[in-house]
Amino acid sequence: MPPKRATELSAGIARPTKRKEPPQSSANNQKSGPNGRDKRVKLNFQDARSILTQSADTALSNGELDLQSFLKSREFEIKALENGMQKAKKSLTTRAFQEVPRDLRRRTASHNVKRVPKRLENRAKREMREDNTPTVNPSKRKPGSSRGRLRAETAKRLGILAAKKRDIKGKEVDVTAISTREARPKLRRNLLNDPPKPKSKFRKRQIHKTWLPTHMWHAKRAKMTEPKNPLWRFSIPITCTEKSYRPTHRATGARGAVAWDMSYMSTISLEGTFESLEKVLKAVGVTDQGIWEKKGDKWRSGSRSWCGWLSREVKDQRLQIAPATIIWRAQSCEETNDPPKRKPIRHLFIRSHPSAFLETWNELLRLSKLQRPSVHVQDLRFEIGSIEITGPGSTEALLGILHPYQLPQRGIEPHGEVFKSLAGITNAASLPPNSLLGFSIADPRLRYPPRTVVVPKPTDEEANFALLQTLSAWPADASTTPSALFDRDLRFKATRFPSQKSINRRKAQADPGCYPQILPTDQPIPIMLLTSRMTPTASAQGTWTVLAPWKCILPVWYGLVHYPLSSGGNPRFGGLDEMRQIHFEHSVPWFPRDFPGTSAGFAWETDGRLRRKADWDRRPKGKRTAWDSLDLGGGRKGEIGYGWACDFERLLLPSPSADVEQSAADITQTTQKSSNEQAPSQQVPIQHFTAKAFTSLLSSTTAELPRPSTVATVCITLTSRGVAEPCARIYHIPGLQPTTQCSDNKKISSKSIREQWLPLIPSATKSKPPPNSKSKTAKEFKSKRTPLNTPMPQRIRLLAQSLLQNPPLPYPANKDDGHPLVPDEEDLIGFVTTGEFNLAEGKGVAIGTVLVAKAVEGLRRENKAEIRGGRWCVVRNAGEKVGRLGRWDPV
Amino acid sequence: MAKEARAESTPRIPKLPRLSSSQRIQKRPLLHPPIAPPRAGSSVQKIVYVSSSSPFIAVVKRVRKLLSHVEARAAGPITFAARNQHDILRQIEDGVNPRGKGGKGAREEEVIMKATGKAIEKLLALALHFQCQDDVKVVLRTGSVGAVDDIVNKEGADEEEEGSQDGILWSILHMCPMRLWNNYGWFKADEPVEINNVLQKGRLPMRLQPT
Repeated sequence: MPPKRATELSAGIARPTKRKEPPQSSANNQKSGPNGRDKRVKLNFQDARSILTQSADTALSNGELDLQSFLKSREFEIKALENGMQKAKKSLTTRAFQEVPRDLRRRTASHNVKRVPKRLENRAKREMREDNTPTVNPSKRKPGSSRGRLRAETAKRLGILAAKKRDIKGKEVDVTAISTREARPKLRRNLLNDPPKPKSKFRKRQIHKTWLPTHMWHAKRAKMTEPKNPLWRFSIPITCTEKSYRPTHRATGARGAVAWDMSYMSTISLEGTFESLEKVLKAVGVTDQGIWEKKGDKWRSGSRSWCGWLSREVKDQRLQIAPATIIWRAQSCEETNDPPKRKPIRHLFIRSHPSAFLETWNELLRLSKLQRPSVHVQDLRFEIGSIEITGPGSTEALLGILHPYQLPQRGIEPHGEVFKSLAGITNAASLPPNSLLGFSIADPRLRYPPRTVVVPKPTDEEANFALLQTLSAWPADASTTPSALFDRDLRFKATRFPSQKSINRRKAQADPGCYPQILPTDQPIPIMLLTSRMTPTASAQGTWTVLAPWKCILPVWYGLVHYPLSSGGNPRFGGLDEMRQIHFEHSVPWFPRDFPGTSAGFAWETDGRLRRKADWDRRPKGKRTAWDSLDLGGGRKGEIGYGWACDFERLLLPSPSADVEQSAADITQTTQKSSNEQAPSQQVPIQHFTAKAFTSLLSSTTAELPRPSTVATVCITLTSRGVAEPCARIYHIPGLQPTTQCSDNKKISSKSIREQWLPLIPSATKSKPPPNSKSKTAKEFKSKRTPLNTPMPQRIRLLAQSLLQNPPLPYPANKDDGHPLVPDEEDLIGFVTTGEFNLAEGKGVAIGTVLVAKAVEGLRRENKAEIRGGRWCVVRNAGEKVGRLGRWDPV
Repeated sequence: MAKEARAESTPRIPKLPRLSSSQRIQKRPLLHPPIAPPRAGSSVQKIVYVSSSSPFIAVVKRVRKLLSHVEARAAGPITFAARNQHDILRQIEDGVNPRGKGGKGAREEEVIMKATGKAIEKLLALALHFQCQDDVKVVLRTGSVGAVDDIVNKEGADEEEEGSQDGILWSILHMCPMRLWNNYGWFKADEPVEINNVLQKGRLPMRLQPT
């Protein structure tokens, strides 16, 4: 429609001549009558109900219909109508605090205008006035609950305590007039260190646990571990308070970033001659191919990190402890060039998970004492903290926070230069694998609030080429300055921050728009940046890890979570659940949960059992799964083992008990016993088998099988619909064995079960997913379908015939639905440890643990029988009878 | 990073010796700016990256949504909040102006889809799909993007990077960006690119491995 015509439209704007009264309910229950609210209602109402229209005659010119213009007008009208409908729905039902994005919503915002963002405060105030909403009155506030009263009492007592302290302090100053700085905490060699002594106000809350450096920040925004029930002796954020499953998925894949405070990861430092260290490391399983030869040069010179499993030798058997990262301290030029009188002392960090810390520590301590010259072990758990960040915005966020330390007229450390040149990178995985940068940064508070960094435009050819060149040549390898993070004194100096007051003063004195200059009295903060890839596939996002002194984590964290990303918003934060989710979406197992073969993982599983059992017990009898009356089809009754457990103990029994019924009846009794017996010191019945060893075992047809109690982690992708849940049972497809005897002497042949499952296996070629059992009926229907060209009388006859032929649907509906029978207990090979809908794959995926011997035996048998692929399994959720077909792969 | 560059403007990269039989290439991710928020203004380019595993209909829907945002931006809001008769008329005028709000060409904002290597095939299928629809204009172009890969040893998960210079692979990948915008003039006859011809003549590199 050309613009000229618009003036002629005035007549066509249809206004409703008679307005309907607003709905009774909304008008009557307000005390305030014809005041501001009514006005607002009127305006909104009119805006919503009047729809712009154009009369058709504008399209008529000289008696001819201008089709294009006519269509355009109608399109416009339809859009205006849709728009109006939407507005009408929205206008009268939303208030200011409801329009706030989820991450800005606050509790009680409906009663307190101070809880809504500033930009909405005026509107919220007006609405509250108009609606006569009761609001808070701070002077009248009383603690409502008994808990609130307790809290108020404690606050009062703390106030008295603080006043007393102030008094004493004042007196002391009068007497001595000398104040000493707090002594540097001791770091002992070969002994465990105590956590930092908290302020007296918070000491009582940290008796059995330690707070992370960002605890206060997290406690307001995340669900933390229960005070009485800390995890690995830390108070750890579990998940964000706000809904975060899908936002986290998006932030790690599409735009944004997710950061974790990982200060609970434990760092152990080893110091000694190279030969001794090599012996220690080889003894804990750092024996990757070529890592001690030329291939590992970069790692040993401190420009790459190593990620892998630590293990220990017990009774000529290797027990896996935990995955760990090992970083060598680089040797400076003087150290390498000077011909030393003695052998040079090397230094390295081992970072592992806190759940396996004690095991690792004891093993390292034992091994270090065997070495001559000796190796010193130091526990740096509360000395070095860390932050992890992933997502397309992660590099940008780090660039905005970590500014390499630079005094005026001085240079930046070479690694700092490299880091600054990384602007424009959106995936940490595009850096060389396991690369490492070590440099010092300035106090992040000097540059708070952070500003968005300038990223070169995607069309800027030269910048892009320079970036690619940096990534390929990786100039950080050329410089060999040892990281200051290894130096105890520098670490300590960095934690002596200037006061916030002095920082504020300096910021006030700086020129407008400028940051304050760095003074020689500002201490550099030594940090180390590690990159890691979860999977070697090209598209997966990499992760940055920032290592910094424990006390320097908080200022970095504040900057990070407030950094304005160029793609909008701030980086999100995550808890343990988000960490697990990210691993799961990459189909990567997460330590400790997915490794029940390690002692840390088994402890997690035992905890999970107790929790699930408690959940089950809490429900009324009618609303919980009756494990012992579960009908598995073919006369089999009762869940295998405990329904709330990944029951590896049952799996390892020499022969599955024939009397299923009795065992099912015993469940409740034995559980109570077992829940009491299950102490954390319990022996781990299964041993973990690494993915690498498992893969090589699978590829050979004759290799010797490991002990029957070894387990390996697998990733299971379900072929059809359905989602596997934790504790789901994993079976392999039964072999061609003779019939099995069942409890009530009914014979179900494993061969018949096998024949039910085989047709469901999709063919190797890329084709449509297998027709599941349900669609069989659809297929039959299709074959019987009457051809299109059938004449009517014949059609009616056929219809009548088909109606008479098919028996009526049974009532009540048969629950079987034609699902094939699940295999027997002897075909059980393992359990699912993590399973849910995978947003990255768009279907159900599970990570499980299987017995290596059984899985490999099954695979070899299937390979002989020439089943396509052979790595097929059946997954059945605990307490359900439907099994789903899936394909497993070692991870 | 993902951008189109003419072959002559790309810098010369020294050719590497042939890989030995025990080595293979491990790809690093291609660099591209983070995906723009869908509601971002017209100054931000809306790019949809297509991979060989992206579901077809999901991509179509994503693009459709972006195009509808473009349309909404071009038309501007329609409201009676402004009581002035003239304002309302202007809103209507904006709503039906083929050049967009204020006649500044806001309707010419485009959505770009990009794919490299194996995914080019999928992108062409998408292009065909969009070409069969009346309300969008489709333009196909080719370009290239720089990539850095690692050379690793073949056996299992043993990753080996050989030397500092040899271990890095530099390549220019060919890519195929596609531009879409709302075809607002309904009966305008634009000369569409014949994708079928392109496919038959093999002018577009279909599957390009990093060399």
